[in-house]
Amino acid sequence: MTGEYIDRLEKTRAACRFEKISSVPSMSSTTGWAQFGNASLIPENYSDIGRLKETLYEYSQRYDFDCYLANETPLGDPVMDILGYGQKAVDKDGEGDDGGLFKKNSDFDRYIEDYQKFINDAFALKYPHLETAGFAKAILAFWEMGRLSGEINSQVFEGTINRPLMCNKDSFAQMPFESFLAVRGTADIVADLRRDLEKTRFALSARWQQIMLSLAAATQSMDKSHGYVCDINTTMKSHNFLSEKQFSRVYWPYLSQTVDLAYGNGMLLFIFCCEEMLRFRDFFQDMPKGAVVLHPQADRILEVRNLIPRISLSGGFPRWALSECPARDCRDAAQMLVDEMREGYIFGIDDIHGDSDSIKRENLEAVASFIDGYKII
Amino acid sequence: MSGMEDGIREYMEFIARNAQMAPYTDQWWDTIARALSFLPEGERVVFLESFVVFVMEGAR
Repeated sequence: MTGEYIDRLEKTRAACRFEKISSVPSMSSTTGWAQFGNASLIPENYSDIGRLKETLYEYSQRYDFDCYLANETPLGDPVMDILGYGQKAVDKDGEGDDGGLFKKNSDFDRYIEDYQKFINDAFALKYPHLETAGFAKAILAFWEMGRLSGEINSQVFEGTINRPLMCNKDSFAQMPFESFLAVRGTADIVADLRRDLEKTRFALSARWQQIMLSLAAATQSMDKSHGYVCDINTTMKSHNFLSEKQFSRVYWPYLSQTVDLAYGNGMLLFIFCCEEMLRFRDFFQDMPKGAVVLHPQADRILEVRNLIPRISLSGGFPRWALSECPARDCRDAAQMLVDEMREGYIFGIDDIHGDSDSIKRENLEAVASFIDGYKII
Repeated sequence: MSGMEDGIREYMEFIARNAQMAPYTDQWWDTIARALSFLPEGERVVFLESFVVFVMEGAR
């Protein structure tokens, strides 16, 4: 980590805080995008860490983004290979299964009263054929995944690439509704929201206590010397089948607390939003300016900026344009976007975890090269 | 870091010793938790929470 790393970090953080900047910082995803232009790095080769490091380095040298958003999911494949991806646990009258792990009505109460005991039993339901050695190996594989991630961070991003990452993977604030949905199942949670909203809220509070313990430990032990752009991060995935009223009761209280936690400690919160969110824009209006960076994957970013002007944004450049438009049009679109957004913005692709196979290299080069040299003042 | 490596080695020995133990019992969970005691408490909390999120609630 040298001066250039610090410069890019400060430039990006300044943009997030709506400070006056001379140029807009840029961000790219890592594993998904790094394989673009390098056919040898197919997903099956993610386990070849040496090749992955080389490819990340080559990718960074070709495009020179200011910071990177790590996608660790491929590194977790060995864990899931051992666990077997879980089995469909509950078959409701032959109608199939949507992932729910509640077998009896009393499971709801157990989730609330003793979440740890519930989740221990839920492991047995989801991975019934796993034996002691297999489970322990899965934990070790997960440990190895974290170790590799840390190694890539220190040797590649802080080392050869010398650019910061957007987020610290450990300080992930899972929203309890996302947690509850994963073990309750979609059909049952929809019924819960209609029939017993208060009980659902008790369940979310129980899960939130566990999440906060972990988040507090992660933020307290955070090594500030690593210098991530954002200190806490979360992902909004399942908010979109809630009504605004339901969102206000089961989602927003915890997201709001996470914003307060970040802002109260002088931290930045990164929210990756997988689905459209503008329907919930009123909730975001009173957020402290410069405390949150939102990556809207599905909404048009200029509309988000106009309707929620107080939060910083990242992404916004349409991924499809990199596949379908000439390089000149891509460059012009990038300029229009940057001129409109200016402060409080990190340039990037909207759907950054999407398939990158059809992307034209000359388009990404034209866009990255333009952003790198373009002054907005 | 060597403390961590010692801890991992001890954990591997734990796997060998307990390979026949019936999984998912209360005693089994207690043993798993004890085997991870080489981690400082805060790191253990973060590690286990991350594991639950990853394998039970979908990869982040």
